Amino acid sequence: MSQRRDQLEKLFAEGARRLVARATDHYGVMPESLTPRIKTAVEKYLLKDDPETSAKTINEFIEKLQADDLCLIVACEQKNQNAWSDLVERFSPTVRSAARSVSANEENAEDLAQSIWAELHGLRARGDGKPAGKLAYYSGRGSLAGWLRAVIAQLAIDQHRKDSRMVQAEEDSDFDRITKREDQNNWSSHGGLNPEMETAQKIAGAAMQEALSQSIGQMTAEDRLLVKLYYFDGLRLREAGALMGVHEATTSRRLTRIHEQLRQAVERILLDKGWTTAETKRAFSEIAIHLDTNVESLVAGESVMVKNRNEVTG
Amino acid sequence: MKEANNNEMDTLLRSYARGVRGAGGKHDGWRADGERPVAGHMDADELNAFTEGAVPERARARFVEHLADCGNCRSIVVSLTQAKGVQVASPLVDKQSAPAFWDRLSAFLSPAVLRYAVPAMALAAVMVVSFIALRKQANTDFVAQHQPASAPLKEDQSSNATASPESRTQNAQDQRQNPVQLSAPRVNDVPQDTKTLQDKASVTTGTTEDSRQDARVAAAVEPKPTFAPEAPAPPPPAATQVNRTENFMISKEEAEREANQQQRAQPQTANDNYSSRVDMAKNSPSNMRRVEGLMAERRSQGARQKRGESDEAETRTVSGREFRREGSGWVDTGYSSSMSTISVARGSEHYRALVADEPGLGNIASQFSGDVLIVWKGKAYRIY
Repeated sequence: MSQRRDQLEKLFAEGARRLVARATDHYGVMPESLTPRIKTAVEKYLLKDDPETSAKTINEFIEKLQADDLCLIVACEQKNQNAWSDLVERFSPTVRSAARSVSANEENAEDLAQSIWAELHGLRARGDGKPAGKLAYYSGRGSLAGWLRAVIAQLAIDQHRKDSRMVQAEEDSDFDRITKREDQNNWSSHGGLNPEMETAQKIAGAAMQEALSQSIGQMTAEDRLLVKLYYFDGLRLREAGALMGVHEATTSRRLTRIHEQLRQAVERILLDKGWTTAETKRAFSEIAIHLDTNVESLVAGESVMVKNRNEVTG
Repeated sequence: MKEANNNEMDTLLRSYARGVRGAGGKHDGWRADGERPVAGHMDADELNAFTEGAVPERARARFVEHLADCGNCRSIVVSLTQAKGVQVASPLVDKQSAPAFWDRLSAFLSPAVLRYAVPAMALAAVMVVSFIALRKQANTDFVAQHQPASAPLKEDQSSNATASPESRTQNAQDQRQNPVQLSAPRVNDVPQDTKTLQDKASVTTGTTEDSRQDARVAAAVEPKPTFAPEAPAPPPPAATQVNRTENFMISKEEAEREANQQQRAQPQTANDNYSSRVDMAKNSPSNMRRVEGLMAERRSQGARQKRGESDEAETRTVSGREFRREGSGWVDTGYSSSMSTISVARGSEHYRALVADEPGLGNIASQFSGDVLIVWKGKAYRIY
């Protein structure tokens, strides 16, 4: 055990030396200052899932850390003024643009951007008296610009949670309207049918929704994530594929496979509930046709909802 | 059928997602149905690293598991993805250095690639071969070479002129007595020996009759034009191949008659017609000019035909929309692969309902007889 620990310490120290050597500007940061950061990153991304990760994998991991960004951040932590100036100069546009994308107006965006710098600098103090800055959480694995955007997005969500109670009442009325309109356009309502048919349709629609929900829950995490990215989050195929690390065409083929599997799963669930094969087939096609022709009203309702949500998240 | 099922599921999922988002929107951030409150959200570093594809395999699997059920973290990942724009999909998980040669080779030779690459390469090869063959044929058809009379002929004529009257007379008598014996044409025959010609083709030039005879003989031994088709039929009388029999003199008229008979016996082709026309042209400059004009006309006709065919097959405009031909069907130029496609068979109940709801769409579909993909109000409809 201690042998393993010693081996790891040695790897981290050597890795830190190599990292400083390949940085374009290390701002006078010593390898010893980087070793704890590298250790945290390796534990977070490698050792947590596989404590027996090989030395080769660890070295490869360290080689892929962003040397320049990491040295800059560590130098900022060490109160290096040059480093801070560079950080603000290089990344102010990124911070402002990220703040604007999650804010409703310019004023909120400016407030958010300012609070970011405060958070990074760590105006609050920790229990040990040291500033509680967010800089310590940057591992160097991804780019510093992307990390800053992620920090801003999280701050925006935190802000929204604080403010959400104040806007809840106003929001409800909008959502009530939309929900009512959706009820009129849900899977089971067909205008003009007799009450008995309508009830039957409602029950069928509800059963299908439940079966679909169950089927989605039974999918693998990868498939479930893809479905949610594409259908729930509105990402395009190309964007979803980029996140999953595959080409757009591969994503499209996966979705087609998922459709088939979901359909089979839903049919299985409905058959278990006593439906016949003919009934399930008919239900699929009828609901699809009905939903298709009502899609415009659903989309109109959705755009109002999205607008309100954006206003709420600020 | 498969595509119809696919479209149905696509529509169902979209509607389901909309409904779930609407229900969840009342609460703190939306949370899709089936999503349980997830403890241990991802931090900014993990969210960013995942978005940039900079996480190891096992960590990535852990994050995927979390993101599949956590709307909050997923919304941040989505916004980061949209903010950084779409980049070319990198290999899965780690951003590795350039893949090994064998990895690339195996990726290139994978069934998924070969399925499309092999037919594409075969098609390209067929097109190249056809193009080369057509060019060769065009060149063969229209090359016309005029081979000048060979030297020995001139020598013969001059030698004939200088031969003694007695020998010329004797030879002329010999010609009259021994009519020409035409043999089957031997294309690869070696041209006549000049000395043989001198010896055998002695013609008097003393009398007018003899001089006419001389002319006939001279014409008879004119070299065969090289542009004549190398057919099994015997060559025209102006052939240079010389019968190696003792008495080969023929009159020009007899040879032409013979050649015409043989040509009539052969199946006539367009090339033959052209070749025969070229044969005639050798006798006069005006005919030569006419033939050159014919050749130029045929070349430009072929080029015009090719251009016309390609132009009219490519695009069509219907009701202000542009469609391009793809295979046997037509595709709206506004179509993109990210659109969901709904397939509708002509004459089906669905088609009738669709046309009733969207008469504009029906009008466009009626302008096409086969498969057509129409983008209508943000959706793609494949009418077949």
